[in-house]
Amino acid sequence: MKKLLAVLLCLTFLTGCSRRPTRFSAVYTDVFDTVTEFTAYCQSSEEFEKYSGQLHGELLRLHGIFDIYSYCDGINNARSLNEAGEPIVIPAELMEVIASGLSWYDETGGKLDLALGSVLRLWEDCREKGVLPDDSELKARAEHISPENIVIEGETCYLSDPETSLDFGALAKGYAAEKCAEMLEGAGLSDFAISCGGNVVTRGKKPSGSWEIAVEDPNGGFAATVKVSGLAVVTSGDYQRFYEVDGVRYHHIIDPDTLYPASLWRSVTVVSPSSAEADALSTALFCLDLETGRELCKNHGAEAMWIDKDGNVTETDGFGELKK
Amino acid sequence: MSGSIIKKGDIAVISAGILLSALLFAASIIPTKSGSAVEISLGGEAVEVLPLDEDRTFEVGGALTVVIKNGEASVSGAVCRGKLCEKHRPISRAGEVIVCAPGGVVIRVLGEGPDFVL
Amino acid sequence: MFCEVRAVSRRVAEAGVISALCFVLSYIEFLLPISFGLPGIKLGLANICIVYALLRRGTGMAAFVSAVRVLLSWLMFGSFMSFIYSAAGAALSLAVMSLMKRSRHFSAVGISSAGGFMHNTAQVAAAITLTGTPSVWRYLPPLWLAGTLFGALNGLLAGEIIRRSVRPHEDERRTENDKTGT
Repeated sequence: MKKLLAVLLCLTFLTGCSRRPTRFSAVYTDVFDTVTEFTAYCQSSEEFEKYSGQLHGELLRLHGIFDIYSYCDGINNARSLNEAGEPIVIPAELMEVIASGLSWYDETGGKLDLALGSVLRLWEDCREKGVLPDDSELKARAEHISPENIVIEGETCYLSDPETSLDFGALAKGYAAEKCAEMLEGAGLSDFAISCGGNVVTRGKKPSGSWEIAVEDPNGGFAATVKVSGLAVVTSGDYQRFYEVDGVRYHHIIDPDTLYPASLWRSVTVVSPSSAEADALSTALFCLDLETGRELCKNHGAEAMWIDKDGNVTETDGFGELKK
Repeated sequence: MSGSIIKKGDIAVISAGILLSALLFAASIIPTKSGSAVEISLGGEAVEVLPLDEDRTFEVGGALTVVIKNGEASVSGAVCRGKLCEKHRPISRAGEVIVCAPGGVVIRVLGEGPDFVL
Repeated sequence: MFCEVRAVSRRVAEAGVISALCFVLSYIEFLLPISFGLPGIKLGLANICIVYALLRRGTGMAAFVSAVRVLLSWLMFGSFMSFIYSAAGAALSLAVMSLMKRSRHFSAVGISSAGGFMHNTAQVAAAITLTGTPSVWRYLPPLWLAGTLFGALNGLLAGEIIRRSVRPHEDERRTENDKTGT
């Protein structure tokens, strides 16, 4: 009798199903110096390969435009712009992100500064050598981080100060994820998520419900899991990219005012309909106090969660509602 | 005829039902504590699945070594410059990941968990 | 000849009565404001009728009553999804109960208990298949427990009903019916 029950049980669970979309994933490690993950529900692997190919192509194209380390064939990209002493024609995408960067600078009181490149490069070099940057060198470079040095004329742009250089680390990934999501949606894909180096953008949902995105608790485990559909989630954390000198951690989010890693929060997570905005906001909020951050979120219709040094979690009301 | 007198078989059926419920309940709460295995992928292709309950090391494509110890996975011997993956705290919960972007290596704890961990 | 016709019409009438009762029990349970905190946990009162039909009149009658109940519940107060779950549950539950009846090692209590267990098993399996959510299996332990216990209680009731409703002379006719029928 027990055997019979066992057999019946197995049969029930094996009952197959068909025509339900299957989950597929792809990973790209050659764009934006980070890992990009693409997950989608498709009817067949051929269908997924098609979208995955389109996505990878678009990511590579955008990566080329925002690359500050290499030139890009045929167009003036971020590196070309950083080195240009005279007006050059730049791609519309680059222009769009520069324009948004300028407005973020005003809105965040300078906490989000895309002209911070020279300071960031110094920290980057020091990170690779495992040493701390020279304070006077930092201050010297800080003389050239004003976005006023960015001169835009029609479709052309150049930097009036040769020592100034732009960095798109806080803006490009979110922008790219948003653009790619729009492209895939336009191509007919409805249920997918892209995580570009921690910039998660979601569309549609899984057969079982909304996309679930967990935020690491710097002290272990998950601080929160949000369920989202059609929203973007971005976290800026001091545990994502850092190095240690004499046992002290130095992470990658530099406060333009102090020129040192921002130390108010351990991580800030932003949920917003736009991944470009979420990316910029999470970086800005990381350098801003709670009240200013809250105000900024309100103005942009975004929700946020802050984790401070002691592990205390603060969140906007709307963020709480997204948790499961 | 089959009346209401309770037979031995009845007791067996009810006991089996209760026992199975208890067993499955036990099984349903254990795996939520931690995932049982990590999947290691290189350049998007899964190359290995290692159970977490067995201490061992695994070298991935000359880029780094995955160390499994005390039910947690971590990275050592990374050949990339930043060695950020080495500094990532050990992972054990379903959905947690350690990523080595320069090497194209992703180590993910399998099991039912969130779709992405930030 | 006359006897057979009488037997047939008697069966038809009885099927109608049991089905009606079964549906009424479903309806009562639908109206009862009892919630056990989880979807799917129910007293399963209608199963009393199914068990009664199975033990007294055989698998055919039980299948008929069961099908009528599932269909009527769907038409009256169900959604298509709940209809699928309930049909899957009824089918597996009846199959197992009917097999157990043959073995003679079980009384109404054990049979009904296994029926409850199987009903919930099939429901969860259907839910997993239809929604594509394997994690639904986590609902199984409480559902199994409820199915087993409420099933046993219903079986106790069904057994008692059978014991009280069978008069000595009817018992003979029953065996006769079983021979001619089916």
